Amino acid sequence: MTHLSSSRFKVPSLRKSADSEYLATILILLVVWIFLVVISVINRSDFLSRATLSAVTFNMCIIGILAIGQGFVVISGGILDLSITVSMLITSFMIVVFYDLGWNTPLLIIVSLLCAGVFGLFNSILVVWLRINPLIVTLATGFAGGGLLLIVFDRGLVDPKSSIADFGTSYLFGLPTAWWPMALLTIGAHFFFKYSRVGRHFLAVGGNPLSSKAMGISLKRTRVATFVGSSIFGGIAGIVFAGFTPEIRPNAGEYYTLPVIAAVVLAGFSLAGGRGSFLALFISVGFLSTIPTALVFFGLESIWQTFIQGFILIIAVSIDAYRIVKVRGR
Amino acid sequence: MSTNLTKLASHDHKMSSVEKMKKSLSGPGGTIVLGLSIIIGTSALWVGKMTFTSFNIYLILGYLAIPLIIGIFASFSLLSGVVDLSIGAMVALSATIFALLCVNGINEWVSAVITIIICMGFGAINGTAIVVFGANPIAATLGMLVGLRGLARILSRTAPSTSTSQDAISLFITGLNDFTESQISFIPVLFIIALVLVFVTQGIISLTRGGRHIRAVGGDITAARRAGLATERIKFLSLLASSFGASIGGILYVGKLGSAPVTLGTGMEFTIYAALMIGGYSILRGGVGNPMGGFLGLLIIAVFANLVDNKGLDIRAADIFVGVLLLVIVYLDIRRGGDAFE
Repeated sequence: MTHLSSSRFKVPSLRKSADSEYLATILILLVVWIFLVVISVINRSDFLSRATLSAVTFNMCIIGILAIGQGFVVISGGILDLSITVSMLITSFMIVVFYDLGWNTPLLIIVSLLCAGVFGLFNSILVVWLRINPLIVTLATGFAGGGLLLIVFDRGLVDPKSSIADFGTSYLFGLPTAWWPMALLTIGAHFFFKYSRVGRHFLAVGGNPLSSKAMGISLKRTRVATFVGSSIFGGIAGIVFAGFTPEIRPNAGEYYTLPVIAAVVLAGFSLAGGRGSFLALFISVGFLSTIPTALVFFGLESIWQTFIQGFILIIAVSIDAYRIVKVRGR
Repeated sequence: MSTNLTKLASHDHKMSSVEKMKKSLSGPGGTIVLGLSIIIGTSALWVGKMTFTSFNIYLILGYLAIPLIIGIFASFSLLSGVVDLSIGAMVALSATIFALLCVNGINEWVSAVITIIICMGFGAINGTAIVVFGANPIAATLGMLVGLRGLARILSRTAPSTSTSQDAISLFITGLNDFTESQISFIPVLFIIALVLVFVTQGIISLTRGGRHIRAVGGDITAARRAGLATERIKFLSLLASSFGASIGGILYVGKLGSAPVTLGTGMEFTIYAALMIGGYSILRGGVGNPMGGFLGLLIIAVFANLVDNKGLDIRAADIFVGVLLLVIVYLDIRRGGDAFE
């Protein structure tokens, strides 16, 4: 938004303040993350190990990619995509189906991603042409899509000898190979929204749809791109998911929906749109993915994880809202 | 039923009878009655006479009663413009706490009171986050949903192993079970209570000053604040009401099921809000909807679930139905001038 306006008007202070605000969020998240690691190490010195690193990075792959998709929706003013895990599972199941048909790997990946894209297109048609609020659309398609997946697929078995399973279980530069797509997509998203013209358009629409429209940005096209985009990100997560999950269950999405939203909110994305940093998102995904492993080292069962994540989310949204109120004044 | 709804819908306006007729057909009431007729008609054609046997009606109404009680209390928060997604998890937590206290030998009545107080405490946390700090209601109560599910699971593990099996505390409370299963002729008593609650709430919403205040806060909070209403207190109290309803629901489920499974109420928030939205409420803006509509919306879903059950279809088909129905109803609302997106 600032880039667009600065071509005609000089508003240097806006950009500077936005950057410093993201920097503060990133630093706070980093400090909290490091604090979590430090108390875990004090508790059990063997926390810093290859096994921990591998557990945390495996956690990060799926949540990270889904969070980029969700962040994309939030930053462009699409509120939330509650059906993103359905896109993920559509892709995972399609990969299994096409693999069993004997298709070669690049082809089946592209076609499965297209299936997720078609699902996203369906969402965007409901949003743009029927003008139903995205939250209701994705709630309904998530609900109906999840039910349909349960009826159609009982479970999907990934062939452990396939190249997809190879990709999901191998290591590259000391980290899981499946972690690298997430890292690359994060960097890509950061530069896309910060420097590219199209990326700034999404930000502008998220910040103020009416004035963006007045400046000649097509709202319809942006919305379609947003929801197809988030489904494609869901689809990419689905490829990674198929890589390291030998047996895919149709209800596997339930586990991911909330941590992903928590990561986006924690990273300082405004649910009203137009504000958010993908670098902060990376840190918040890392922090949230460390919690399950840290809990194990504290001798707490994994059931504590959801309890803690839920309350972190409440605290995060409260702090976020309070900060905005303080900045704007009542 | 249609004329009844028309009266309710046109309560605030003076209209000629022709206008009333037109409005009843194109308004939310018309849509609901049409939907209800279609679903009952489908059931009658597909399942046959069995739809109207007294036992089947008993099944439908029994399935409906507890969600209706939870939904009516939750409708207060929708009306005041905040959505509480944590009700399903709150039901599980309430059932778990209640069962846990009873298993540990505490009197049932005392346990129930303690359970309700604890659940309303979590409702107060919702209220603090949303009203005091101004957090987004959907994000905050989604966090509460997950947090409470986790808490229910943690608490369920602390029960003595003799009374737990497969993530559920099992206990049979004779008095409570008799109460939840009792019926007058073929109508469950719980359903009658729920229906009375619907009418009382309808009266409160449309006739009393407090009801008008809640609608005013949901409809336009700035105007309500300028008119001197205690907007924050009303929102806070409505969130407490929804947690109260969910805690009552949880206790009743323990009586009905004879156990407190930790998965109790999974997805119930979606079913209830879908039903309320079918009935004219909105999760995005307050001030609209009435309890009678919510009741009929829930009835549509209950009849469909019964149809699926009788035909031996996959129960998850109901999820697809609820999703599609939700989109259709919201789209019809937009066509009538409801809040469209952009």
